Amino acid sequence: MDFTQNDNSKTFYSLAQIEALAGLDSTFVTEIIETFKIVTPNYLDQIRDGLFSKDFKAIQHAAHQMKPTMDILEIAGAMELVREIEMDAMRQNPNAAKLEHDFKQIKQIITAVIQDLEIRFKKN
Amino acid sequence: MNSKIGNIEILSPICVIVLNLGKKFKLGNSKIFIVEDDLLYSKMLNHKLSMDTELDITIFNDGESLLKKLHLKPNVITLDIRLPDISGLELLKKIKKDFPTIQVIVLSGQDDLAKAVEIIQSGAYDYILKDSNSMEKIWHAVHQANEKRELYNEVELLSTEITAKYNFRKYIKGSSAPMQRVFSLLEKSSRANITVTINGETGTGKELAAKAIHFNSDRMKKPFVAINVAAIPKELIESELFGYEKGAFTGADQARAGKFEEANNGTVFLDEIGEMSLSMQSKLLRALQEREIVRLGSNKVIPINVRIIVATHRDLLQEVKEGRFREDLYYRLLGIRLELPPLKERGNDIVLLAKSFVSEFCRENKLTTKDFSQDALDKLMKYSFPGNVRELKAIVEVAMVMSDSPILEADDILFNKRLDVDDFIQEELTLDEYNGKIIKGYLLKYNNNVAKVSDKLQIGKSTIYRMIKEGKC
Repeated sequence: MDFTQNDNSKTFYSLAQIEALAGLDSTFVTEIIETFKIVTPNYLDQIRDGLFSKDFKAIQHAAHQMKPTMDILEIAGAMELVREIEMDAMRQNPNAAKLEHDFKQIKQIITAVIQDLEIRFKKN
Repeated sequence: MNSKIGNIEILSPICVIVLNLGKKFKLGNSKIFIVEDDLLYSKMLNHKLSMDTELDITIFNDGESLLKKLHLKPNVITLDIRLPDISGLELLKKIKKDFPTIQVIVLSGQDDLAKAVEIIQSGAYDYILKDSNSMEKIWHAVHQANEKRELYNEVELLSTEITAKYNFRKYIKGSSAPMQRVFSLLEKSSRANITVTINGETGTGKELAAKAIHFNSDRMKKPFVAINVAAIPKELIESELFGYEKGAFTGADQARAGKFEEANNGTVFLDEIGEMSLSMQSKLLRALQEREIVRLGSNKVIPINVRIIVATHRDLLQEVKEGRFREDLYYRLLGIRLELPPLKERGNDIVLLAKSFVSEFCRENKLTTKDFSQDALDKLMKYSFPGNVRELKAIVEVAMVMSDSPILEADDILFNKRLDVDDFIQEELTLDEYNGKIIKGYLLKYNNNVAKVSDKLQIGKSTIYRMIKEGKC
């Protein structure tokens, strides 16, 4: 899957839920986007650090925290990946290689989403 | 690196993001606390709930911050199951332990049925999964939980009002010396789980005193059940007090709990206990001693835990001597003895009460307040009030209705009988004894002010002192 598309006709995320909640308040949408751009990379950093130090609890926590946001923005494939990371980190003997792989995938997705958001909201 | 998003300051991209703790986003009537460490989700939730301008929302990002502000008693808390410093379940238990009426809605990113059951069993109002529909679900849950909490608030408020209503000194009005003794005994009675016997003529406020004791005791949230023994036919009193099973007697179409069961853990007030038949007295004694009752037509023993307050206008000890009241029951009921003085012995309380009845009448009927002329007050002070406070209230209310003037005059004060003379001479005392009674009455009325009494009665102060020394007044 190519996560670098920024063509609106093939969006891999959706702001529909946020826009529905915002109603006529466009500043709220901007606020949420800005928050997403700071908070989500923080969670990714926590997963990365957890992988490095083999702190699977930290990985599990960060993945758990990311789940609702992936759902709200309807990011394609992200929800499943984050859930996998959370479940794998909870196992008795986590598979570090798989976690590493899933982490790279989710990081790629989030990076693409943030890039697209920056372009989209700069345009607006 | 510091940055700012809206009114949230980010101290560090690596550390836990600290919200402006306790910042209120909107004023409203119902306090809602959001406990959520995920910044984005908390913003979304806050935005959603803020659409209702009657919700006053405060956000916390950890359990410790919430616990510090729990004394503010929010109506509803939305609580993330996973917090950085404490588990949501543990926090839920703490909240419900200290503030059981706060409604807690637990939010979780994990669809775990066993966890959900455990959360609900621990007292959560609801358990909601953070998915794409969660905002709507939370909205509805918060509003429903809020309604439930408002009902609790109303009940709490009514309980407080009832307690305030029966606050001794506020609603049992009186500043005379006899009433100060009554207040002291009422306070002592409310502090201890002890039987109270209230003596007093009709209309002296026996039931009011019983209620005051109950609603200032630790049983105040439990039932107060009053039974006027004199008003119940003798053949029905047992079934009324102890209840009956279906078929226990003709007309017993279904089982019914008696007053003792109704009052369980609360107070039973037996008014006019002196009118109870001897046979019923023995059954009552057994119930009080064994702390159990048996319904009519049943063999099943029902344990009871009630506090007993009794009242009578009779002298129970005299009734015992004359064989009309059981001695063992008398001693069983002998706890605190509270003597409510007749109104005629309460001196200036007559004026105090009369004025308060005027205020109460005006408030209830939305009338302009009236005052008493001195003649009207003098007339009231001279009367014996055989019906006591109840009679005074009736007299004042009639005066309020009949008078067209802002001042109630002596002519507006109407008694049902001639002033005192008949009662007075019926006692057939000696002249010296009559004099003693008169002087005693005036001393009570004027708070033992001998000079004033001497002036009123036109007798020497030495005469009064002599009568006091001789024990004649």
